[in-house]
Amino acid sequence: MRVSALIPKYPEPETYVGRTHYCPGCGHATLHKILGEVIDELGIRKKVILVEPVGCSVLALRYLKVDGIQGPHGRAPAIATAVKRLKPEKIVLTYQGDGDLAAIGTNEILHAANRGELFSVIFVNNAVYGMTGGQMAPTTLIGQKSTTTPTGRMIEYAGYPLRICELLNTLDAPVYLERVSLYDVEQIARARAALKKAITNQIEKKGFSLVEVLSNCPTNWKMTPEESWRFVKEEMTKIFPLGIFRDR
Amino acid sequence: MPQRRIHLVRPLRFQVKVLEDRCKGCQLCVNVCPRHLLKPSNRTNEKGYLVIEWKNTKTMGCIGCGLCYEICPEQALRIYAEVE
Repeated sequence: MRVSALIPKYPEPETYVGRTHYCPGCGHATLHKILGEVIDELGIRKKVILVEPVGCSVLALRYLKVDGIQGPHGRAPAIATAVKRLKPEKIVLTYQGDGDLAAIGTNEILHAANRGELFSVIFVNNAVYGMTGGQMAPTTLIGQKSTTTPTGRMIEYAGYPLRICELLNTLDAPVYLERVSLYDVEQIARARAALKKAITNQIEKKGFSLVEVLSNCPTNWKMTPEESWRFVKEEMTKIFPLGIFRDR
Repeated sequence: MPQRRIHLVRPLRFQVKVLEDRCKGCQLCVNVCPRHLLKPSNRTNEKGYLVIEWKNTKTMGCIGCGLCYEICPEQALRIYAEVE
């Protein structure tokens, strides 16, 4: 049996560069990869403007070869509104974490969604403030330990986890709200389809779309990558059920 | 067109190449491989991570399913199809 050629099964990605600074097993790198694949697939690399958040993914533009702006903490929807109104031919994406979108920027995202602004939001929910060292976020699960809740989050002191998709589902303007995860290959495929749908909605000028991605933080949860994805699968999806909340 | 014909050839086997400078040793691919061909090694790369190594077997070899490629956050795995 003579082998005369080796053909790569998958093409080299054009948008995603790799060699990230994220911890081993972090969901950010996986999400960057599938976002790059979706941008390649739709062929919109030169039209995308990515608004980066404050957080671990603050260096996202090093790994994705697209144009972008760095926003102040939580204010990415405000910047995206301005960019989309000034340059309506561009594809505007915001990439935000849960400390960024659900804590500090809740009013921004709520009003941007209520106005039905024509951009797509990628919301990475990993239940802690990752970059600053694992403090409690609004999405931290009840009883989950973090550096500011060393005995676990208590309801009487810190309230309940904030569900952004359900919150935005009460508004009239958003057209697409979905919660996906990345804990196995099937879910990664679903997440890719959700991202593609959100960006396609924007290309077709339908309206505001948000994709919430349940991700992990092995370093701050003090778990191995495999254990952290199992935690996402078994614990987080109970509080944050996966699925399409709205699709018009 | 010879280049076009190459894709119509049925691949004989598959090879996985681990780009060791990209691998962070998170071992997500180890658990996802249906044939258990990916194993953590004793070698470290320049960043100090224990890299993954791939060893094919003749009977229960790689089937080229691509699960390791999909789950790898760093795109440290490349899958190649061997053709005649």
